[in-house]
Amino acid sequence: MQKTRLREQYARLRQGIGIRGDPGMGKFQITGPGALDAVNRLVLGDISRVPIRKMTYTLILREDGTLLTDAYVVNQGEDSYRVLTGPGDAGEIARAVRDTCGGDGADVQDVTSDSALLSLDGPYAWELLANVAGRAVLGVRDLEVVPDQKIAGVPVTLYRAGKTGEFGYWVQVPADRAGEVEAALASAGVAYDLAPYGQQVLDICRLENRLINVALEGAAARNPLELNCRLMVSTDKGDYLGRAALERVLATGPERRLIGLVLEPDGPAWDAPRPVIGEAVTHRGQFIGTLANVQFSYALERPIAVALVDAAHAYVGLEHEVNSSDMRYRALAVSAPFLTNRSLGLRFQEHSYLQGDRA
Amino acid sequence: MHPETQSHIEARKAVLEAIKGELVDRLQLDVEPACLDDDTFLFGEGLNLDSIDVMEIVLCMQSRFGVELREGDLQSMRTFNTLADTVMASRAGVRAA
Repeated sequence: MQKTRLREQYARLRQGIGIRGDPGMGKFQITGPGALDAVNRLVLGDISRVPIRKMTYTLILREDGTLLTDAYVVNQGEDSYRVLTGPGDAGEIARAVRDTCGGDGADVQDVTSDSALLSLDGPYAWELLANVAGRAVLGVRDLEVVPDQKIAGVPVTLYRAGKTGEFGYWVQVPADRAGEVEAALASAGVAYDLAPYGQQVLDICRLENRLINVALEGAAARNPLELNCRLMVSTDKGDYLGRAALERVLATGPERRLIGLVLEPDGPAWDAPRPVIGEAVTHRGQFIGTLANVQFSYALERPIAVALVDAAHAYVGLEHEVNSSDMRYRALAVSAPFLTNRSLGLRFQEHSYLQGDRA
Repeated sequence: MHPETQSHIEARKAVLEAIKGELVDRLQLDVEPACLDDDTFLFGEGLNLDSIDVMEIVLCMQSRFGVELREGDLQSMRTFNTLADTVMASRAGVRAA
């Protein structure tokens, strides 16, 4: 597969299928009779609610309540959990997992280098995967995990998950055989105009869909409540990393909240400098917060952003301002997400990339 | 805070609180309305509602807010905020007419 330009990578993903090599997620195996309690001490959510062969998206905090990273926790059954961790300091994340989960009947293994995760995303990802792994793929629901599958004779585990807002699947493959599976997908993917996509496209898609980017708005937030993650917080489980700090915020409510902004240059758009992270957001001249993530949305053909603003102003429909070096932007607060995903209108029975019956 | 800003926020908050309370009741969700952020996704990694709940949301929006959503109008049902957008647009339309 040849490298394609950013806009084309984006278009292929949003209209067809994109593929991404292992993004470097940490992979940890927690086993033993104390595994459930161990994982519950590590993450924000309550893992006892996750059925076998399902996973949940959650966060891992530091003791001061700031975000260390995000994570998917897979319930594999028989006192076994797999924790897939997101961006951040790999050493700090590994120490947190080891120190928090080890002992008390739980064994922790860092299995990051044992396997690779290939990511297939796009409105027709299901069709390509069904062609190479069998039609049972069509029955896999959101956040479901299907072990013991095969692609090109290589044993794989499939995860229905993604970070682009389109149909998304992760293919977990033994690290030494990742090349074989990638080649099989690339070969079958020719008919789907399959193209690789990189971190920049992922960052754009994540923001368009308002999925938390731990490396950007996650790093700027003082706690997960500022990121509108109240629903993830469990108050009826035992102690976990960052709980004391978080409960102090729960008692008073967060001082700031994340809002989505569509940015319109107040002048000719063609020479407008792009606003950057950290720039001030004002309302009627009053400082209310700062930009936490800014991307150019190819779907909207304009810059979009999220900003952490004081909670009193964190409402959709208000118009703010961003004063970016030489350009003033009008910044309209809008609902999440920024766009309507093509995948939303797709039916397996009615649509097909190959047949040309596209949504 | 400027009176216009204050007025907009109060109107928005009232609509959001009404939608959250109504959906928690109708869908018998095991969560306090106050724990629901405005941008919480109703499906997928948010509240994890399913296709059966779509009909209930459509009925709720019609009976409580007088807003007609089609079952296929999933974009209006992404988050509490998108539902509130629909209610506020409908009310603005009524006022304009």
